[in-house]
Amino acid sequence: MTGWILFGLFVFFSLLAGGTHGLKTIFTLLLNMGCILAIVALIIHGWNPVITALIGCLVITCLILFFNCGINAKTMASFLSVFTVLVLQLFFVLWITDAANLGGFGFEDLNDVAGYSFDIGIKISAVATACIMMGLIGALTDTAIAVSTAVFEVKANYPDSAFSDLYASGLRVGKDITGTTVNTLYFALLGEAATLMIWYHIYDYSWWELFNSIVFCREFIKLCFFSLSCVLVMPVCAAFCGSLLSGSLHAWMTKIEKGMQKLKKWIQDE
Amino acid sequence: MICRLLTQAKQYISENKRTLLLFAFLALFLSGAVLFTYFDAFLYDCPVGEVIEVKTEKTGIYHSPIGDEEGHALQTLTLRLINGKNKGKFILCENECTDSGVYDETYRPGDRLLLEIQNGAYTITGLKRDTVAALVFAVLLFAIVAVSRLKGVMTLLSVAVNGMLFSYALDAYLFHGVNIMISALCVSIIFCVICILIVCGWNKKAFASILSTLVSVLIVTVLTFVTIWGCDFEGVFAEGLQYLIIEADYRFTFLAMLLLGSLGAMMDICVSMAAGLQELIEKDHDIARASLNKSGIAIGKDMMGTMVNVLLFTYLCGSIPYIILVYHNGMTLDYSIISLEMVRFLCGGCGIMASVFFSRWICIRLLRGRDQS
Repeated sequence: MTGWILFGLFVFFSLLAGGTHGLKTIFTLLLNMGCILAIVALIIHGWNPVITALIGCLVITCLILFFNCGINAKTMASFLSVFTVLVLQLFFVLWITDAANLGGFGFEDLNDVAGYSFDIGIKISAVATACIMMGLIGALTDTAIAVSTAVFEVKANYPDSAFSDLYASGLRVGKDITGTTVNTLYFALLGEAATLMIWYHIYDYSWWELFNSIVFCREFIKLCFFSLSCVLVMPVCAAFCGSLLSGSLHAWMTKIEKGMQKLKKWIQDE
Repeated sequence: MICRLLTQAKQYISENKRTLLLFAFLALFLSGAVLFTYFDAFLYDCPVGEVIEVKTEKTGIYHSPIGDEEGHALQTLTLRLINGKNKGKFILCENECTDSGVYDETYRPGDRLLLEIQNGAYTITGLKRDTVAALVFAVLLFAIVAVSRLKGVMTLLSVAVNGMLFSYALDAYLFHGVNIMISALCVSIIFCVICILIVCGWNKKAFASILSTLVSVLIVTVLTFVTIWGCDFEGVFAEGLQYLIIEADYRFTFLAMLLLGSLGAMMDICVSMAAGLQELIEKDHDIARASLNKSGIAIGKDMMGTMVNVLLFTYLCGSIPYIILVYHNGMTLDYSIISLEMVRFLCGGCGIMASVFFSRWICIRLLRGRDQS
């Protein structure tokens, strides 16, 4: 009941904030939620968590990019940069979740998970990696879109821009977004850490118990990874978009476009 | 082509020598800090041991309610103490572990473990993870400074200050009996005013931002509080929390924390909106309200989508291990934990949407005034 009323409030404020675009945001939200739950269902059925998560991430990215903005050079560049950052992050995340045993529940979670059998036959560190990878996508895709939009805007307004100008303007937009993303992630961390903080205060944990506990480390490292991916995608996306619109890649693109036009003409003549 | 890249790189290095030197220094400093956490066992009160040798012995195969197979094992670990009075001493510990590791950990040689002494014998409390956390945080810090420079550092500073204020409010509540809602509210107002004045200076834009932030925070807090309280906190708290926390008004604490946490995001939105609209007004003093409104909606669009998506993914993906656990026990979700995450998400989402709307409404009226026609 609480959930439905709050959802109603959420829809109300979205309409106030953005009109029909607010509704579109909500629809994309529900779509994303459905995708994530579908991936979770596959993992429950025994598919390899990491590979399923990676493929699922790409599917969700495609949905967010191509459904909202259509298939064009901008979205293709964003997609490529998201893919690059995902692959780069994957190895780092795999190493860290394994080195720190981040998967699974800790003593502080016992209230929530007591009574369940823990013999589930799925490696929980793989699940932890999958969770982090899937959580990345939200912030990552939006940052990539914002940066590529800015770069393409600059190119549209100043067609003679060089690579360095395009790259710099992309990075400038990214800087503004960092603040937004970091603040939102911090809000999420605070929400999760809320009850934890009370526990630590009341039961008088010492600082080393706090910083080494699985629950704190899990949340903290997860949010560090989310921020890191956003920060990494900015230069990557700006570079991709910049080189796509000027420089050597641009020359390739124009050649490809000319070739495609010749091909079309040839097919029409035949 | 490689030659061209090399010459470009050389040119870049010679032009930006100073910044690159600063970055190298920062990287060195951060690596030093991370290394320090690796060797900081001497700062710990509890004994810390390093795993030298592991002997694993399988103790059987257990099954979950739906038939999954899970191997259990017993590890006999030879540990060498690396701090305290008995530094250098070798001890033996046992550790029960499983294949999946849902509520246990499997240790390898080289791991450092936190121990405690129970009844004269050493038992394992957990893995020493601070080095890993420090490493990830150091990489993040370096990346933020490298890409966002000063703005990134300012954001991190504001987040840190918010965290300290949050801890201070909690302290006042727990140990000095101050009502949590009041202390959270006071802290929020002070933080908001100071931060925005620092970022924007003492001008109309800052005043508009502060007003819109406070209005959105107040309205959203009141609405969500009334909703949750009105539904008698149904679906928000699992039974377990009641035994965990002794204080009677932990529910207020939950809301107070939502308030404090959402402050940063809301402030960001309000400042961005005010800055964007102010720029347009400066370019054309007689700009019509309707077109200002249109631009305001455009500014809000991107911020909305980003933040709400980030919130959704963070909260939903945090619930995934629990969902998997529940289904592998043959049950369906009983909605207790999921609804808590969803409520947090919806409260945050409402806050963001509300602040987009209120900042646009308030900034247009404050910064532009009445249309002259």
